[in-house]
Amino acid sequence: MDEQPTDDDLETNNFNLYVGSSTGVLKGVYFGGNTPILKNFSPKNDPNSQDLPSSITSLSWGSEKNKSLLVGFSNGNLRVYNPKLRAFTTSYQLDVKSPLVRAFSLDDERIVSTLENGRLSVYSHEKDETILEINTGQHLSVMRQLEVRSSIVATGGKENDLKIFDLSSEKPEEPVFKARNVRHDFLDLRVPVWVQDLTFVNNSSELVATCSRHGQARIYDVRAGQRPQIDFKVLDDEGLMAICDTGQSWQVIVGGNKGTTASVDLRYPGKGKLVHKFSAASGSVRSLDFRNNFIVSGGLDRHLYVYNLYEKKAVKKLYLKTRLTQVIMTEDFRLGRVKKEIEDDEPEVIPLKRLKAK
Amino acid sequence: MSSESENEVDVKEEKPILEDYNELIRKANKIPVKHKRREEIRKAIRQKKKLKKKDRDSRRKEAEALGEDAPPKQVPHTLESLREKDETMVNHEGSDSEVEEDIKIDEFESYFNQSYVPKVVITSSANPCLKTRLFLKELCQVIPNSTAFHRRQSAVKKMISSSIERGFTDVIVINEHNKEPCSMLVTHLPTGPTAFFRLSNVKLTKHIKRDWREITSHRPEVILNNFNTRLGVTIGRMLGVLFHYDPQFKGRRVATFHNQRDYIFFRHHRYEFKKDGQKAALRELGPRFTLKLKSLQHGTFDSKTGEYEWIITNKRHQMETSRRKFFL
Repeated sequence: MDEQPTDDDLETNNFNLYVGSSTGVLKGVYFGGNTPILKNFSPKNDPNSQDLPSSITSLSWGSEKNKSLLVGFSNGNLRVYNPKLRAFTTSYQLDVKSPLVRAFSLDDERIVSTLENGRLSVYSHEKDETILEINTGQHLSVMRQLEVRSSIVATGGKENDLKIFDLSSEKPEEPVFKARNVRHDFLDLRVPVWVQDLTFVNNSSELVATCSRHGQARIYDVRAGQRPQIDFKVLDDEGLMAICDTGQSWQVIVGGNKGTTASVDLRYPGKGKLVHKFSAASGSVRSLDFRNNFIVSGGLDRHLYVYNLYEKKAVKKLYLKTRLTQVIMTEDFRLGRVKKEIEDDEPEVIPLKRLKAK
Repeated sequence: MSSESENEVDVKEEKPILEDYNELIRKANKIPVKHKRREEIRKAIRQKKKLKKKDRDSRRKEAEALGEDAPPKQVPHTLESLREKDETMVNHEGSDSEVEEDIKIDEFESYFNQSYVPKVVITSSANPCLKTRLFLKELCQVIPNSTAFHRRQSAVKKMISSSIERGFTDVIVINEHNKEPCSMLVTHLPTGPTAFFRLSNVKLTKHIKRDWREITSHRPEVILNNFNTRLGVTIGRMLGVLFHYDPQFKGRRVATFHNQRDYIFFRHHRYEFKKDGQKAALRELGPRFTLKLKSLQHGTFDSKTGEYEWIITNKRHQMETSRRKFFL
């Protein structure tokens, strides 16, 4: 554990954490030993171009987990990063009129993308055209797919409450679920809606947790009704920017616009319960991910934080020089170094130098 | 008694200073009679001073005798020299291309490409008292191409949207508390960021016995000192873009933002080169004030749903972990 990591480590253990930045650079991080290994993958084709680099707004695994990473840029550019080759392999340009919100691959040949103006489109490589287009409403800020069945997607935005679509159904443009706003508050005033991020809880298509820029975390149960089952103001004076599911012990993690990351227990009907506040970050949290008891958060303060959910503390902190917009962990994320045998049937990992020579 | 103490001094001069002093103090503290005890302690302190001076003199003589071979002068430890290492420190020689690129795509880059001329709105809280009003007037004199407005009842968000429409590039709002200017909000338009400073120690021109008419309308030079971390660079650039990029050297006017231990000191001078051209005489024109950063927000002012790039309000105890940790 305490030894310095070497290049051999990377040969056997690939990067286990990828970070997207506002300068459009994808960063691979490997935590093994004391010093983390960091590598930048710049997608720039033309270094002389005058255009400002556009930020990475979406990171999602391809149809096969951990085999390819779909990187979406705000200007509508989509690139596939291959972790094994450690390089970008393919690139497409979407025809966009507003910034890209999120893109993911439905299967090997179809890609779903959403724009900020609410246009959700499914693009097919085989036919080389858009085969489906849905309007999900203005000011979209998030779209997520159900991991175990990626044809089910949920969307939300500013004054655009949660909607769930089933892209494989006969009428994909009709949402299968549409949330209703909570009742008016004690002054009989309408409560504003701003779904900033959402997640499916426990990989179930029926439970969805959303977080609002106005500070509420809400849990919707599709079976129980259109209004949220839990409506909970998590942090006193912080809007929430990101939410992620832990997949266990009925907890979700939320990140605030002043840098607090908090874990929330959902087993309290009508109201959630704040379990712990991790407050290492000094700037807004943009993205969260959770695997194997570790929470990773990246945000505007240009630092990457790794928290341990059960030890309730920050275990790693890394300065990454640019504002971080997206983080994603591999399935087998862990902090310590693990010696792994290379399996015979797996193709050989080509080191970077040889790749460049070709 | 006196002969004894003299004897003691003679003997103890051979010993190292601190031990000697400690021993004398220890002895003195055991004396039960109050006035005698105090006298002894005073004596010990006096002796310590004497020995220190002797040591200093001998070191100086030694250095003079050795000339160039003298050991280097001892540098006193200060909070700055013992500052905790900050990984976000920006190297101004430009060895880090990634940080440079990050700086290049920030909101101020178009100013540094000289693509626009700054045009600044200065305003205050709703019913400003006299000192704040005078401060606004003097700030207007310092910052070229700036206008002071009566705030009346307008909301900050509304003010910002209408300022964007009218082609202003920055908005400064001075708030007051107990009839003293107490905070300063600086917003860069049209896309932000927004910085909130605590404002203290505001001295108008009349408080330092100057006249505001002395401030000429020439565009001043701007000096930004010690903005070294990544956050500091952003704040330095933010304060720099309030002023015109092309100073009129004829006016010999200079505005300084000097950062020391996270406090940003503003001073405003006129300089004059002496005849030999080696030295410059300074005349402070005023006003002077001190800023302390409280938060930096991404985008224009939105205190509820806006995203903060850095904020210390309500988490000072978590963030200020040491006296030697500075953020700017």
